Amino acid sequence: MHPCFVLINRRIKLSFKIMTEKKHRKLANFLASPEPPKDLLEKIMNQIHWEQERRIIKVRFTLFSVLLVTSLIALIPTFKMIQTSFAQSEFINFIQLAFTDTKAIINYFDSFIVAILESLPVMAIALFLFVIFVLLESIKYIAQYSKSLFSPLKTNLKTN
Amino acid sequence: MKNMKFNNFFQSKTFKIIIWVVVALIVLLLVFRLGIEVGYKKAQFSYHWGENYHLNFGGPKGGFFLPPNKNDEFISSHGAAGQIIKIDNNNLIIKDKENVEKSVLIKDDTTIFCLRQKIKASDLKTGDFIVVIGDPNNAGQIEAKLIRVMPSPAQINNGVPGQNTFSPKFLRNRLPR
Repeated sequence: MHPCFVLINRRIKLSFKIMTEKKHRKLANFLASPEPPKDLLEKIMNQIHWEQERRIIKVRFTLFSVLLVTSLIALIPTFKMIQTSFAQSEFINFIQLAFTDTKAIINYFDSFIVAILESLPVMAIALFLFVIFVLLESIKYIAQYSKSLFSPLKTNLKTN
Repeated sequence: MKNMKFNNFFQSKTFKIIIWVVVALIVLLLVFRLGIEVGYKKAQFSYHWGENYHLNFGGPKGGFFLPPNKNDEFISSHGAAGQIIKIDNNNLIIKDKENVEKSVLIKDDTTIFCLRQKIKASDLKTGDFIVVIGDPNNAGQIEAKLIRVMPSPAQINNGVPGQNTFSPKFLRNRLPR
């Protein structure tokens, strides 16, 4: 064989060897891909748990929103009821005595207190306070749930 | 060691809860007792009021006027506010806001006020709006301790709402000359 031809042949073999080595290295690099983080499962489970909680919060948020609207609507008739009850009862007249005849009221305090208690429209006051209580509690829970519901998605997955 | 556990218990949340439950129970029972007391007094007075209706006001037992609120048929016993419809010596018959007649007994020690001055029982007139504080007796009457003559809703500024002052007519009739 001509020496020149032999030289070319060797060169081709060498370059082929280099290429295959490079390919092997690339393949090895590809196969040695990064391992998933050890706490990935825990993070995924946490995320699932959070989503479940979010669903429960959504239901509760809707429930308390309905309660808020109901109590707001109920506030008007109960307020009118308490107004009527006070107007019909003698309570206001007795209370006026405490300002106009304070000294005399101190002397007859026992009778005055019983008169006040007897004339107090208890049921109307209790109903009105109950509606106020439901209203305030609904606002409290709505504020609490809206914080977790409308805040950016809680995630514990670290971004690299 | 036992002493430590003992001390920890008294500073624990459980102990605080127990204390609050006890306090809440005490308050609840006191309010319940108060309710019984007030209810009993109202019921007793209503009974005497009904029993003596024909003596105090004339007419059938139970009265001509029935309380409009059927759920609250007991009459308040230690006070009344309404218009005088009849004056009979020391006995006033008033019609209260619930259209119930009440008999008010004026005693020697009864204090009667009109505006800033003390007045006599004889100064009271039919149609006056009065507020009475007193004690009930067994005859279904209220023994008045304090009577205050007030402008009735119609007398307040001639019935003009929103202006809570005495009407000139009321002052003309009541102020000393």
